[in-house]
Amino acid sequence: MPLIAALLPNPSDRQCLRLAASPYTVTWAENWRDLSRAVRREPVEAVVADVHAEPRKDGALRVLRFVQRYPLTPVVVWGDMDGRELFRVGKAGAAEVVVSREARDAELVAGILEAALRRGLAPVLDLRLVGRLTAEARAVVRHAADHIPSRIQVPDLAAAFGLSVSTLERRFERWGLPTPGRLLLWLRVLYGLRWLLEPGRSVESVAVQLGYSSGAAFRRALRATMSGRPTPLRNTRGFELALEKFLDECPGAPTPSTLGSG
Amino acid sequence: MARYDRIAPIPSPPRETAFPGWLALRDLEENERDADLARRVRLRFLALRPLRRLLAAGLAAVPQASFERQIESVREELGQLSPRDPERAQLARFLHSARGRSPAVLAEACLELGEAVEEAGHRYGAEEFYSTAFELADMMGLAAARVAALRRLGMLDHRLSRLNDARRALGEAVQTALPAGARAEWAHAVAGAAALARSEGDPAGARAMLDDVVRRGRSWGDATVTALGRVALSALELAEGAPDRAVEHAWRALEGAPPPPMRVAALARLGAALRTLGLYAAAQRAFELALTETADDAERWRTEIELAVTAAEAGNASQFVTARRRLLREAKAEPPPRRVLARLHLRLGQGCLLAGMPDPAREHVRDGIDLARRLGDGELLRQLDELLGMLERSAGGEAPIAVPRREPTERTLRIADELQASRQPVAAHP
Repeated sequence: MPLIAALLPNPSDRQCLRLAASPYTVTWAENWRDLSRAVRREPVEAVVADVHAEPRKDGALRVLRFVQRYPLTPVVVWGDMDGRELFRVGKAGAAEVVVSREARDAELVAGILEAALRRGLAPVLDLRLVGRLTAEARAVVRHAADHIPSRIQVPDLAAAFGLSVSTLERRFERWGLPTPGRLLLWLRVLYGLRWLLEPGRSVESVAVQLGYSSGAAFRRALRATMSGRPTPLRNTRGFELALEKFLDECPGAPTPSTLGSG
Repeated sequence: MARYDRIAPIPSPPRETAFPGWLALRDLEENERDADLARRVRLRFLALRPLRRLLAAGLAAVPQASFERQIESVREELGQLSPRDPERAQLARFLHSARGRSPAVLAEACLELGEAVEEAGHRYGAEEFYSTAFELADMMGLAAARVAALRRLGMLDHRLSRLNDARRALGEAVQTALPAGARAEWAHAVAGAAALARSEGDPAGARAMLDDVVRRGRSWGDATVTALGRVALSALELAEGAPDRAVEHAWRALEGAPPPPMRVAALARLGAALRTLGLYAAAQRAFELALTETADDAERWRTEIELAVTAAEAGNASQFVTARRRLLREAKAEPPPRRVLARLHLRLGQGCLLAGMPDPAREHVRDGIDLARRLGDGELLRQLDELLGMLERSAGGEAPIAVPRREPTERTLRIADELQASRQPVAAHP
């Protein structure tokens, strides 16, 4: 499940987040520098930060600096904010806010986190697959995409849907998908290229986050999916090229089928 | 806090990329130190959050208890506004409407609060409320509410000189209103499109659109639609330099007992057209009647302002001075919405110039320009600049150009007589 990095000095706020973010894994940071480091080193999908975490520091400016380094990692700003602070954190690029009075409502905070995480890669992919794949095929791809940061493998994917690996492979063929192994390879590449659009991340750190032994191993995966074509790593063209090529390998099936059959 | 604000110079994000409801906070742009405004925009943003939540998750997916807690927590914060502040009551009504989660009621509440916010001169807040109403109506298939939201968005875009957006929104509102069974909204949308056409140099096109509204209103036997078309035609003709035709349209807008807001609008248009023709007593009577019939505070302010200026134009300086003093006292005690306040400065400035009071006129121009800039109202700013030019020329000893006044037609004189003779609310006789 997605990993959230949080900077919440107040223990009661931490408790509120724990309750709301129970389906997610949360890693705690002590300050903004620590938070940045966590995103650089771990497959963090979103961050939650108290705007007043560092006394006498401009919280909105911290948000701005973070967003400049990690523009695709949504920042949920937390805290007791007046109108001016709310205006400024929005201008700085916060993806969502949790105002203090809302923090104790776990359902409300969970909804806010979910909305922030919807800005990630998995929903983007899902949207591009609408009309191409059946709902059940999309559900499997979505599950795989959601779990790439936690390094999902083919047997995990099959088990999540109560299938054997061989059955899953047959289903993939019928659904017009590449093999499960190839799908996961593609998803890692797409995640990696998207993360690399953020100036704060390096090829080495992204490779490690995706479970590769080194940056060179990630580059080999890139070559294997992009048919050896040189791919620009750090611009949107590279990501879009890869996405188009991935979609070409997902032609979809002409007729829908169900998970329960054959 | 950093000594130099590094956030202020960065460009504001577009509505689509900012967090939901953020646009309601954007009225703070360039006014970040305004503590009262900061409180207001925060409360508007918080009031919108439960609705934005319903939109994001879907109505059925938001647990009722959590939704009510969220509304209650916003309601508790309303005490930050004075009990006499009209916005406090407006927000309380809005939150009360939200509790029921009826999409139609929610959309309607958004439009109503959006109008109040727009009247207060907060364009971004108004845009956020109208856009939320539009999204809600679009998601829930509420055709009439969708048209109502589009029409308001289009008119707001026009006021802010975003002409392409205005054209698109008003065009779609006109196209979709009648299939949605929203006749009055259709008429409003056509009037908005006509105003846009006129501002783009096509008064004939604007006239044809409004004639169609009147024609259809009459064929439907719909007094509101007919009156709406005629009031808009009156405004168009006056702007095009045909005050007799403006009087005729405004007078005929009173036919068929239209609802009170339309009657008030027609009387105000009638007063303005009669004044242009130098029929001051009749104009004054029209404004007085409008004043007795209006229940709307902003409209009452506008009419009082026009009454004062009518006195100045009629050469009755002492009456103007008394009225001006009273208006300024009232505005200080309980400020009207900012758009009305800006209009007050423009009109009183013009009145002061006519009454031979250049210094107070200059003060009004200065305050008016400041407000018009904050409101982003280009047309108002243009009129204030024009007034400033006249003041400067007058200070240089240059006599103002005397615009030859057109003689009223027999028909106009009959209408003026009938209006002045009336002791009861007037009804037009063709």
